[in-house]
Amino acid sequence: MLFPTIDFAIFFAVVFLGNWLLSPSPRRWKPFILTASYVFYAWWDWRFVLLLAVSTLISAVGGLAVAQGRTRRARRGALVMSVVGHLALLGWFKYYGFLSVTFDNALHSLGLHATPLPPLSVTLPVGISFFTFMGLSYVIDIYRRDLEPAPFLDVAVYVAFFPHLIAGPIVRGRDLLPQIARSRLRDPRKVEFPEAAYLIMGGLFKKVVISSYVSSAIVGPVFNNPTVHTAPEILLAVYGYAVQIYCDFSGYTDIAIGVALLLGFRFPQNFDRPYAARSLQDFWRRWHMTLSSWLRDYLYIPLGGNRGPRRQVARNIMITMLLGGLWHGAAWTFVAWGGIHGVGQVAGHLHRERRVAQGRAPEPTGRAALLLGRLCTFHVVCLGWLFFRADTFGTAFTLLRRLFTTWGEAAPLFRLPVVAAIVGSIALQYLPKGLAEAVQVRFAAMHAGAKAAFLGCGLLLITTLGPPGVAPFIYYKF
Amino acid sequence: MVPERRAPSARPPRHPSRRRAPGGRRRAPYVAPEGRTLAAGRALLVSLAAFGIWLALDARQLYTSAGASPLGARRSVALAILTPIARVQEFFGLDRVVDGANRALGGRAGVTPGVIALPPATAGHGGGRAKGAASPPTTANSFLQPSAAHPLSVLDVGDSIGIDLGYGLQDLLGTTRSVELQSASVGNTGLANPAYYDWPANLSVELARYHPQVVVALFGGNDWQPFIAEGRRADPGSSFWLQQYTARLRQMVDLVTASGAHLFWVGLPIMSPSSGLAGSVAPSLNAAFAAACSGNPNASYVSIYNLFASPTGSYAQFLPDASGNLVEVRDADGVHIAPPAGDDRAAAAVVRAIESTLHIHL
Repeated sequence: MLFPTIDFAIFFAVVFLGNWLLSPSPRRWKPFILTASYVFYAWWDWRFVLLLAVSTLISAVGGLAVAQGRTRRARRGALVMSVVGHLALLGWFKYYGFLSVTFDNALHSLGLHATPLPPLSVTLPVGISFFTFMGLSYVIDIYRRDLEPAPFLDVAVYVAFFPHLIAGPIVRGRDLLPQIARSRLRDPRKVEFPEAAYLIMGGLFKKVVISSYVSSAIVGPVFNNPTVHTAPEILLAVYGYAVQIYCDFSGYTDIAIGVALLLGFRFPQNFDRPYAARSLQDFWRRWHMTLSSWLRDYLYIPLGGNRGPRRQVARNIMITMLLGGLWHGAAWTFVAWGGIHGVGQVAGHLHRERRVAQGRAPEPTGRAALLLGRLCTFHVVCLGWLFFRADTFGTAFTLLRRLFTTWGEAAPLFRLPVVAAIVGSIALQYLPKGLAEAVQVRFAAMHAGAKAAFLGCGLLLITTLGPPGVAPFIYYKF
Repeated sequence: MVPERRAPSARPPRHPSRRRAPGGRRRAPYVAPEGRTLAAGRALLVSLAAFGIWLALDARQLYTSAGASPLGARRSVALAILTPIARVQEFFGLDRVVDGANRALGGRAGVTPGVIALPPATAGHGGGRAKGAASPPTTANSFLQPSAAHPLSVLDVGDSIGIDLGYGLQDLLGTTRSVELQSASVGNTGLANPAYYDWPANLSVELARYHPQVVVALFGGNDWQPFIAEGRRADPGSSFWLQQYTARLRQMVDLVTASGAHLFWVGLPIMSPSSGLAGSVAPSLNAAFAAACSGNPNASYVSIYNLFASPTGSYAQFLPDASGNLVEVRDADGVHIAPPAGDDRAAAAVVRAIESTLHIHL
């Protein structure tokens, strides 16, 4: 079920009512919200509900086994079993096709024509990367004694809770499980409606209006036909994709966070004006924050993090970013995207280290340096997006080649409304952070009728400006 | 074996809410900012009122969208709810404001409430040729070898699979100066639901705009659905549905060939067993496409069905390319053709068909 649909609006009205009516009784509320979440997931394909249940079982049983293990070896064994279980599901559904084709082509290049892994068409279940990472963090946190195992029903609600189920944010057990356990204490008189409405309306506008427009006006035509477009169009398409993916994904998570708020739950923030980042390190503190903190806590730091010699730190960064790329999709272009970010971060790390060794601040502080840092970071991020969006390396390199060789030729897709949409969306990232809060305070002070009129007109604006129908969110594929 | 070290507290908490945060400090429960909350009941009422206002302002557009959705209970319920609201909107003149804004933004005005329940105006008229449709030519057109001075104009039309094919044609012909390629394919469209997108009407506009010599059409991805024709419900697979659908296809074939263009109607590729077009669906539609083209000297049917099948004849997402490497030729949804390898594979078959049928080299 997609958020910006009438189906979801009706579904949510029912769930909202049930959520608050059953709130005083956790014994009724938990089965209710779990059923609602499974219905939400089954809307896409009911057969994969079983997969969600199996993933939950692996997390719950794994967590319990880890907690009850009497020796370190037993605890570690239970952890390994659970992690392998999660990764096996993810590997089969997401990476089998990729691995089989890669393996087959490698054999072919060696002159061998065997097909030990037949290339099968395995349907990718939506949200599998997200709920797998949530399940993994739950078990690992218990192993690390950062979390106690929760009752089975709580774990089931934690994994399947529909606002985050399809495309995040990746909420940790220690953030959400206490809220589920305390669900009885949520006060139905204190729903954070202004913030939720702001997030939901903003998210809808970003997804339905901006992302859809930029996608159909420039990004789709250029990336799907790389050989016929000229440099100005390609440059605009790459900037456009930066805007499209930000509006698409942050729009989704804004709606998810807003929906959770209406139910009385607070999710962590997932985006913080990423294109205003002054370095790649800063970018990853602002972009898909729940994934970057997950990768930091469960991959980068266990690998050694910033400790050790330079080469080791560089290796840790590269491994983390390459696997982060692969998490997004089973294709070498995603690995290349991770590689670009990895190399950029290693370079940034070395630069900061050198400055510190010279007795200077790790980051330059001047205005010009800040501007230069932001410009460079944005363009490295855009270079990464080019590989992220391209279907193949051929497409990416064709676009790159044409970007430098076809200036001065006709560019019919380079139009003022597209430029305005892209520039405007990027400029919004530089607005002061307090502006959103000010809007919410104003909205909160409005009369109930004025609130309804404001929201109703907002919906009208979104449906009028948006195209007919709703395209799936980009991150559904991940 | 070394016994496991116990947790710092003597009696570990059984409940996560009582667990200390990793930093050691007890995590304070979140408190909503004062003055920025609303009671749940009031929040629901405000939300419902907002939806009501939106519905009242946008009823005609929503009514139009509902009418364009596939036949079924969902559509009937939506129309039943939206018809009276749209009439009230019309009575108060609110529709003019919203339609004006829509037109200003390049969109379409909503339709008058009450008309959608009738059979679609451009639906097929019986099993024969559509009333008022142009007569098909009786002799084949002749074509000169295209050149940069006299390029061959090609128009690509269809649904989202047609868009995929268009990308392939662009890849293969986009840099050829002897071909002028235009794409007018529209996603989510087809011939089963003219209320959503009226292809005969739009095709007439495109033909008049571009005067193509060759039209490449690929439809069918969204057509396996019921529709209303002659006041009756036609269910996919029934003989009535097939008769009506073939009439709509013939209307399209006649429109193109009467304009002087040669039509290459491309069939659907083999579909994944998990898709709604699996089994005999795609072959049935392909048979209808071939039948609609038969007997017309300026219409050719191009099959790409087996082009996407494995050596055993089953659906394949990955197939070897010219050098023997496996490449992805179909999207994960099992319906669409994957760029670039799949698009190029389909487009190459179409280019071959154009060259051999028209005796030209592109």
